[in-house]
Amino acid sequence: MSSPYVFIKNVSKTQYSFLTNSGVIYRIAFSEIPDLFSEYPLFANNVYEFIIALDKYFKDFQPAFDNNIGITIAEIVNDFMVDRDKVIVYFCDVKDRKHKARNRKFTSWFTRFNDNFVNYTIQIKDFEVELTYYNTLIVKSENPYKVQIFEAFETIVNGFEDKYSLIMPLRKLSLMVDTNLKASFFFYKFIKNSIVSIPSAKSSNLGTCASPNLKLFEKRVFVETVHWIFSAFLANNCSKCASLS
Amino acid sequence: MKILEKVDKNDVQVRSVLFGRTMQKRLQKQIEKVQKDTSFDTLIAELRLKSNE
Repeated sequence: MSSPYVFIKNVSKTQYSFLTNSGVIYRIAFSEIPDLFSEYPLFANNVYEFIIALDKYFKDFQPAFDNNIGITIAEIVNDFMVDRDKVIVYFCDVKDRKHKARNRKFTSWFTRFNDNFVNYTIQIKDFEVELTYYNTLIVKSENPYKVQIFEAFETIVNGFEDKYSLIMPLRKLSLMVDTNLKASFFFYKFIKNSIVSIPSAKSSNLGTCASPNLKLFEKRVFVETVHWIFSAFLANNCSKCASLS
Repeated sequence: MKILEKVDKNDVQVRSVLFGRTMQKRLQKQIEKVQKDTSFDTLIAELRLKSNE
């Protein structure tokens, strides 16, 4: 894949810029954000916030649909992430309430142009202001700390370790079963989404947000059941993972 | 924000929402910073030159 628009970068590869056919200039920045993972010194200094902004003269401009923008941004991310240890966090801007569209677009770019990356999006529903914050983490598939990074991200965003302790071993299990992290993490997300989408959760006014107010009993029964089935599968079918069961 | 200030900050959902709001405030500042950052001007001048070639 080659970039349809020529992009220019600074020496430290933290700033990129490109010009579209319609004359709009994009500014892309990768800003260090070590304080986010300050409790995880193993990778805290490799974390960068990914910022997409229009140039100052276009800040109130509504860019027309342009398929080349996505490909160019994907190429910029590829260029920046040459180092396998780098981690990107991306927060969808909610200022103009177009955060859902941004998330959809970003997800579609990731799906179409992803070459060697794994992503993880955590949604936070803010019912007071009727907004959903989309927080996405992107790491390279060969990042040696990817599992720890995903766990740390979830801990930081949701504090799952306090009240969702049953989910943690399930995730570890799913990650260890399959050497293909992408597939196993998809499995984990599928299971987790199933948990928060059970009828009792949907009928609550909290929607599908990961909330402590969901009926923990039902969730735990579900998680334990899945865990039991999965463990049984491992014991019977996967000798190298048998110790897990 | 008023409601959140009254509730338990140890609550998982409250912590998540506070995280979301904090990151949004940070993002707004970062976008403004990037748009005002004069070090981009050099890049953009170079970009314009290249596009005119």
